[in-house]
Amino acid sequence: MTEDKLKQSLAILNPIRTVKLKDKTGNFEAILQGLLSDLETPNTLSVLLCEQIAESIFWMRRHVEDKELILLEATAEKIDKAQSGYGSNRACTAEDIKQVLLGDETLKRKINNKLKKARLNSIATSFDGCRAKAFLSCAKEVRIADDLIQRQMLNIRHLQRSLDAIDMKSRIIRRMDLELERVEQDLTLLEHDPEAD
Amino acid sequence: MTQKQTKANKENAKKSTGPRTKSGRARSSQNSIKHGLNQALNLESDNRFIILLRLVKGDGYSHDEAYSIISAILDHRRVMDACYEQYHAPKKVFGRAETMMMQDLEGDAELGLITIGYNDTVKIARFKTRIGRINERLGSAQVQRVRRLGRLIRYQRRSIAQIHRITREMKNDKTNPFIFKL
Repeated sequence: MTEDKLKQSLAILNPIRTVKLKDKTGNFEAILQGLLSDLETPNTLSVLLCEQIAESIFWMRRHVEDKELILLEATAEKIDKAQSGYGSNRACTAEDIKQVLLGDETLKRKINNKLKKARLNSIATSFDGCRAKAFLSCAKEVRIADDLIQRQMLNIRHLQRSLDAIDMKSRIIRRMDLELERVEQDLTLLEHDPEAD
Repeated sequence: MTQKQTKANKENAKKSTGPRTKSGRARSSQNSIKHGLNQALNLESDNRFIILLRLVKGDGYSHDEAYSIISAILDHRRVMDACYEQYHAPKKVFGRAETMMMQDLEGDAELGLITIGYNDTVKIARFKTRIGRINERLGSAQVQRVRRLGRLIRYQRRSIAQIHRITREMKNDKTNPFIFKL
């Protein structure tokens, strides 16, 4: 039943696709197909709006990833600079920081030891100190990333209401609510209070 | 800059006539365009518009309704396509050519082809530090990307609000018994 609806919706959408993302991961298609399968009576306008909603969800996820990467890279940069100053090769990467945040205590101890031994270190002598400094240094960009995420959330809400005005579908709205809740949870995990360090 | 140099610059600038051919002028007229979202939407040049208009009218919407909603969606598409382009724009790096030149010099010095004195070494080190600081200010690829996209938020707000307003009016037209269509 759902597959038939999806086929029907895709048959309408495929000749008139407006979103052209070169997404190799297939995330966009997965989101789009999920939304289209919930349409009960698909028509040109409803599939077009679903396509825009899927794009907004895709961008929202991208911006969350970007925000996380900005924070991780800024921390890695601070640690590198604390260890060896400007113009050196990158010894600490965003991946390392992610490992530490996921609970790799050995790596954290290793970084802390290097920071304590480093000469001319005016930044911080611990991983948490560098992390707090990094949060402060990229606060402006993090705020822009938050604005972008917020914008996509509002885009989804508005498009959802538009779809609602054209064709009321409770299941599709429930799916979008769940998606928004998931992103909000991801964002709260990223929250950090530099004063706590 | 000395007065003599300023005068010479002005004289040289007079000799330059810029692009002469039609295609050259057309190309250079696009130089200052960053995203083009402040330009008016030209629907006639968009093939999708006529196709979508026909399909939406086929679904039972009036010409005016179909026209306004399709133009709003295509306006939103223009904004989102600009976002996509800005997101994938290449990262700005300061002094890439100069850094490569320095690396070549150091490589030649290591091979013994040239000798670099103490003063030159100090100059190279200072230059590298300066480039490093400027690039740090420019930020990583993610930071640059986020800054570029941040400038397009207001366009997204405008296009989405337009879609929302039109669909709400369409809904009101259908449900409000006091609105009569002539």
